[in-house]
Amino acid sequence: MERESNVDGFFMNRRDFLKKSSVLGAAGLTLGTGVPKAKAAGPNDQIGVAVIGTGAQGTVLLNSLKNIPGLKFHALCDIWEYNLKKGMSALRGTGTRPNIYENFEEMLEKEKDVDAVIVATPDFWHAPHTVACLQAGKHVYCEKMMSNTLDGAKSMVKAARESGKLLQIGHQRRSNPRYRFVLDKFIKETPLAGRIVNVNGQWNRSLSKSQDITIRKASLLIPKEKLQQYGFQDMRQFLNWRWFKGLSGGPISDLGAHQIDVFNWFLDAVPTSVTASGGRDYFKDREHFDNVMSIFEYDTPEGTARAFYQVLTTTSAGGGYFERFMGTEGCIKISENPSFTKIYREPEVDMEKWKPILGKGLLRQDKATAPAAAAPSAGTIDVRESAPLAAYDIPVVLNKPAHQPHLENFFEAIRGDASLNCDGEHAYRDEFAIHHVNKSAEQNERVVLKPEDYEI
Amino acid sequence: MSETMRQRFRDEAMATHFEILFDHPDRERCGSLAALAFREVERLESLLSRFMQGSDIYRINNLQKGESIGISNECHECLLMAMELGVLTNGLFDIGAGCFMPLVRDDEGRSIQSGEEEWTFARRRREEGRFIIHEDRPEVSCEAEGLVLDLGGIGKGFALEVIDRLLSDFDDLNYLLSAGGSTLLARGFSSSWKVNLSGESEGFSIDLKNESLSSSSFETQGAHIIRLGYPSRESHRKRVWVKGPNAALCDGLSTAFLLMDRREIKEVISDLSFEISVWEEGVEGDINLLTVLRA
Ligand SMILES: NC(=O)c1ccc[n+]([C@@H]2O[C@H](COP(=O)([O-])OP(=O)(O)OC[C@H]3O[C@@H](n4cnc5c(N)ncnc54)[C@H](O)[C@@H]3O)[C@@H](O)[C@H]2O)c1
Repeated sequence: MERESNVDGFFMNRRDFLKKSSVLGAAGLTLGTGVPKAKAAGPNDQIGVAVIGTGAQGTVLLNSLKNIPGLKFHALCDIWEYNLKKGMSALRGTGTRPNIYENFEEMLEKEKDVDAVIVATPDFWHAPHTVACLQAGKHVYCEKMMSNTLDGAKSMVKAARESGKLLQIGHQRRSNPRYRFVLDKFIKETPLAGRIVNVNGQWNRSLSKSQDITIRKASLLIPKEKLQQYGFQDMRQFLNWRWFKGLSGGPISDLGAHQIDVFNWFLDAVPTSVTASGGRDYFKDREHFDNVMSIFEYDTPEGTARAFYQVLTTTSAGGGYFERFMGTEGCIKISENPSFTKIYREPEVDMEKWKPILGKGLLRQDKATAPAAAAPSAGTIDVRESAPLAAYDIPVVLNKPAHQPHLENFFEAIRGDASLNCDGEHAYRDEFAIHHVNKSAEQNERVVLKPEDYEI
Repeated sequence: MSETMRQRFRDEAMATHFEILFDHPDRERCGSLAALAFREVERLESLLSRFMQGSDIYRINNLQKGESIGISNECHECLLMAMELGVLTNGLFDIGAGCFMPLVRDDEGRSIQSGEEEWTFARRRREEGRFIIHEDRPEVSCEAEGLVLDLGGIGKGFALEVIDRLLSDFDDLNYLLSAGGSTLLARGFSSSWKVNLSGESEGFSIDLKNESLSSSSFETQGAHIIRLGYPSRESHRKRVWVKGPNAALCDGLSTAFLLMDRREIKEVISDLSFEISVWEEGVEGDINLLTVLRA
């Protein structure tokens, strides 16, 4: 390794490190300082990008964005310097130093070379940010939920229609190759679960992760006037916007949005009704319900399907998050976390239907549920506890951060090489149903959702 | 510090439990910091776990010859620290031994036996494999395939460091962070934390303030895990404790020191740019302060 530097390492003097580092060579790790390889796109093919909101999710998206060739980062915008620094730091090593802004209007005015804006601000800011960007002629990738109000979500769809620019909503599962594979192969091509009659899904978070965030260090506090200028009453609201009615739709929209979107996508339908129950069961002073359970009815071409969804912020119940499509012949359990993903076959289903799929390697039998080597002899019945359902794994791997394929789809669509996997028009239909969950729970009654209500 | 003032929070992540103790009566204030910490560990796990599809380490392990990928700053920092630990310990601390893991554990984590042929093949792959960790940017390139990285020996200590930065950005409470009970980080803005070093028959307590302590033992680690794929070394002690200014360093060194003799340990310490303390529990169960040295 050729490098002379006086900079200290983490634990040892740099010079000693370099002297001794031949040992590491033997261990297969080498320190490199070479020039980065040129990214695929030339300067003229580059897409100019800006990000509004560099908080938790904005930084996650930046970590994916920097892997996508052909992007040039012109600007980052956030009202909190602490997060702006984190956003800048996520772009370390990309060779770009974007301009930073507190105010998105100033950013839009100055940054003429921006083609696409990523919006990762709290939900109540999505509509103002997205509409302004679309009207300024930018394509927009906006995080879910589209908005905390239906009017806000509608205004985004209308602005996209009027501007002719693209609007992708951040339901990243729609671009996840495992989800797409399961939909194409096992729901559309060979409906392995048979007729899907029920669906259930959940997202459960432990109490320990659901507490309010507070800051005591004076240096990090944002002055009250500035907070109010941006729609937050105080630091508590700013840091915990998800619990406030004017700022977010609460846990059912924050966490449920992803999975209810998958229900609609996989069933290729939208709910005809929703019945929900929720409450401030633990966090008494929160504006939104901390636990919500909801039942949706669907009219699918094959008949009625009912879906149950729960979001709990008071227990993880060891269960995490997944969606489960339960049919007459099997069950498809899928999650962004592959370890929760499995396909089960009902015992009476003829193996012949599954054999070609297994033969082609489209599914792998779970070792733990593989059939025992010796079949019982004809005429005898073994008496023992019920055998587990035969379970199968899906051999599709996502070798990228979870949000990257969805962002890639957005940029491919901008280049004209793909169509959006989740445009505003589709996402609005989820949004409409999800908005009615809180309403149903608050009024304690079933809400009927007519097909024409989904139209804008 | 009175016991009654203490607030304790616990969560599971990175295949272990994380625990935080605060010495403050306001449970809500402490719980808020704990929530911040546990969400941060969840985020770190999604970057550093070799089992999670799409994590930085998963993507590095699946690189093909000639490919490069951008990784997060956190993973980059952890890899650079791991490289330094590798150099300090003459390769005994080794994050490249992930390729041997499938030979000792199955998918469900149960112990398994593997044949000599499989070991030889895995050793060859491991020795052929080479990654370049770019120092000036968070990027990793693969020069030759075969190496499988596993941050198990440093990841928990590193996670405590990252949590500590975040919590001390947000508040100035005293806290004791613990990963799996074996690596501790004590932040004492106003007071220190008393922690016990307990061997089989002896034990004593020390004060910990703005520093970390990590312990490793053959009971919990097993020499085979430490020197996976290579002939096991003679064990010199039952258990080691390392106290120092960085939890990732203590985590990594306590494991490597289990297998080093005293001369080797002293060499490591003299290469460090700060002071650490090392205790060992000898094979007879006696606990000795091995050395406190300044380089
Ligand atoms: N797709 C996913 O998996 C996923 C995951 C988490 C969050 N999200 C979504 O991402 C969005 C952000 O969530 P988060 O967890 O990052 O929240 P966050 O509070 O951590 O970040 C929001 C950021 O927006 C900034 N901000 C607020 N108002 C602003 C304004 N007017 N102009 C510029 N910046 C402003 C804040 O300072 C903060 O840095 C939400 O819509 C959330 O639903 C999506």
